[in-house]
Amino acid sequence: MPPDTEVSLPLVQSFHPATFLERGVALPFTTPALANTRGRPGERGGFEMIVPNPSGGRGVYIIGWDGVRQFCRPTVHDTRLAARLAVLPAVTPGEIRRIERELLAEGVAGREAQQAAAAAAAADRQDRLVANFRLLLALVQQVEPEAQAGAASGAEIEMRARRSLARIAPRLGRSTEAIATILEELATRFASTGLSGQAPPARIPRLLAVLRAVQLETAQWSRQRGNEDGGQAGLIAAGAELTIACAGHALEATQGLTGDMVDLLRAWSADPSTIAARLARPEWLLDGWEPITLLWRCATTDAERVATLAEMAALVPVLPRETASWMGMEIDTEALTRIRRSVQLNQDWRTGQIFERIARNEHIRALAA
Amino acid sequence: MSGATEARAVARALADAPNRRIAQAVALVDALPARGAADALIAPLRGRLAELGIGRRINLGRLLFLPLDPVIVDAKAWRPGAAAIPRSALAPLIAATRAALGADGESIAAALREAGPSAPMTLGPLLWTPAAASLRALAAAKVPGWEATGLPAEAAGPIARAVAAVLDAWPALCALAARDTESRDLADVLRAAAAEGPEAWALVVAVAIARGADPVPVATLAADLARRGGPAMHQALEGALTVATGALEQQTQAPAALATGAVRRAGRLVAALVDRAGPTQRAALLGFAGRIDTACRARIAAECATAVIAPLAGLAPATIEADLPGLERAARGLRDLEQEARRIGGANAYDTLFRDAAARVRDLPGEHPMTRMDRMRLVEILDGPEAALRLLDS
Repeated sequence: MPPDTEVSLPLVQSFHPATFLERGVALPFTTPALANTRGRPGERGGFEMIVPNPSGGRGVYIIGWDGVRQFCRPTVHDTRLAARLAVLPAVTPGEIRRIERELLAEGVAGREAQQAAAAAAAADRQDRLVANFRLLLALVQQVEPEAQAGAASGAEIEMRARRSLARIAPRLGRSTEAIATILEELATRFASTGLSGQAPPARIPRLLAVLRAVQLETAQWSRQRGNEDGGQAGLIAAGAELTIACAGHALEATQGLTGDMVDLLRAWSADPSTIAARLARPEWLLDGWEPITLLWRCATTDAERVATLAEMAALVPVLPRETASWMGMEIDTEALTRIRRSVQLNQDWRTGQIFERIARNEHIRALAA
Repeated sequence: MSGATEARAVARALADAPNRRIAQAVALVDALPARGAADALIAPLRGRLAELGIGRRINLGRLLFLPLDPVIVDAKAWRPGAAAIPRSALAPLIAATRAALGADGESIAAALREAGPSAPMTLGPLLWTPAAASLRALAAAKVPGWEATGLPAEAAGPIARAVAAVLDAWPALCALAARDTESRDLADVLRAAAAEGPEAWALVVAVAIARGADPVPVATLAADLARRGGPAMHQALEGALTVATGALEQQTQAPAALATGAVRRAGRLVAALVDRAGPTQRAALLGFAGRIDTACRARIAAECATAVIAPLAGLAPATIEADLPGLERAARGLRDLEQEARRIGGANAYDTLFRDAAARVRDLPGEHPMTRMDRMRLVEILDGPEAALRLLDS
């Protein structure tokens, strides 16, 4: 399925998004020509896609699905995903992950991805239960600091939890049932970040740890090689370093919200969307990095890593200017753009084997499910 | 039975042996410190090794001649001045180089015994440059053991010099293939090889086209150099193209995943040269393209039948989970090969072949263990996403 070279769409010369929503969410397409495509709500409604210039040069196309079909023959998986994206009520990394997992569960990306999606859904349910329990535990410890929850039995903790809920409900002007419901809603939001000190860690801290390892390895690769792939590794390492710093900071802040559970419950009662947005920050900051780490992990020999670095470098997400306000500090979000300009990202004459790359992409979707 | 008769009998038995046995025999011979007569046992299998996808253990000699792999020919097929290396010349050249390198050579040989699959990338550069210098010195003297090669005595010097030229050029060709920003310019590499004489230059060009950098700039630069270099360079280029195309034809016999790169290389070479070649060379290139086209069409049709369609009948509910990935992999390998092959020819034939294959999948009886989604996926690989979506929506 080679790309169609007769693309008659306007190329946007530069892409410097101000906000994360304007940057869009990385879309898990399996068609190789659609790697690094992002999606966001359209200016005039609907869903639009930001597709990097297929030549590897600067610029992006901002188009709908009909425009995408001018570039390439999308896989069945991608066509089905696009249909779901078109009716998506909210565009967030979490929502894209949810609909992708539902699609994988149908089997369009193969049995491996189908099984992985089922396993991931079960793991998510478990993460929500763990988050709910830990939120409750945090509440008990803060409301009844004199009680040693660690030494208590399950039944005793449940009793204290009920007592704690009953004690704080009047202070928040809510019933105990309403507070319990809020805790469940919060657990859904905390499922991916986990709470401070949680072991085993939740999905976001796990991804952050993997990204740290990949950052170290690509930085070392970059130092050892003066080749083009050394430059690409340098871009990945620099992007990862900045992202790790920002996402680590955001994760700490997110988990820190549970330091005052009463305050958190009050804030959620008053304005859940503001708290939800804060809790989603680590995921927005890490959005697009998981496929990069998986590409690196899937390449096991030096020759495979040389071949995959160009692809990884092309996927390094730009950081929007909003990052600085999220972090509350000055961040040079243009630094990556400057490095990117000095790194060659277009594919060379050996790039081919489209069907093998689709299979590789399906494998990556299974690993990321 | 004499030793020689016995060896011939073993070689004949191996020729009919299953792939697993061949792999074991090759590994055994490769592990010998001095292969000597044992080499003759696997000689008849050389053509099949790539085709069977059998990996070889790498030792000092194999690493030394790794860059020249595509231009090594049977001694009987070699003629003085050809852009090729007769296989019988390898043993004395390896022995002489090893002796000249002394302790350095032995430490590389020792490292190779422990090394993994990335050995050529890490240890090769430590060997090729000093080996090239040793071979140049050797070219001016007598190569010990040359008489056992059955080659003319006067061939030793030019062959050693030509091998040295390739080993000198190889790191730069690899760097160019990896798009190393600090690599030598390709034109510099070819000019330096030309300074060693037409024979050495032709060997470098043949190696570069068959497995080095992108064949398009190599072929076009070589054609320019030949045009300016007079009849000897012209003849050398023709020799280089003959050997390189022969090597590419052989590489296209490898398993689909490996053959795809060779077919791509062949297609690019023909496209780059066919319009600028003289009548003889043009005819040779078109003949080469025609042979690749014919071989690819026959092979893809045969493998589609044996590796994709035939196994459908053997799929069982208990084993489908394990068997399906292999079936999809085979179909993908063939489609990737076909994508390159159709640039040379046969687009309509391939369309029909894969459409018919997809129809066989679509028309499987309802009780077949492949689910609707399994069938959709195989149809998508064989006939594209539109056909798969039609099946899914039907």
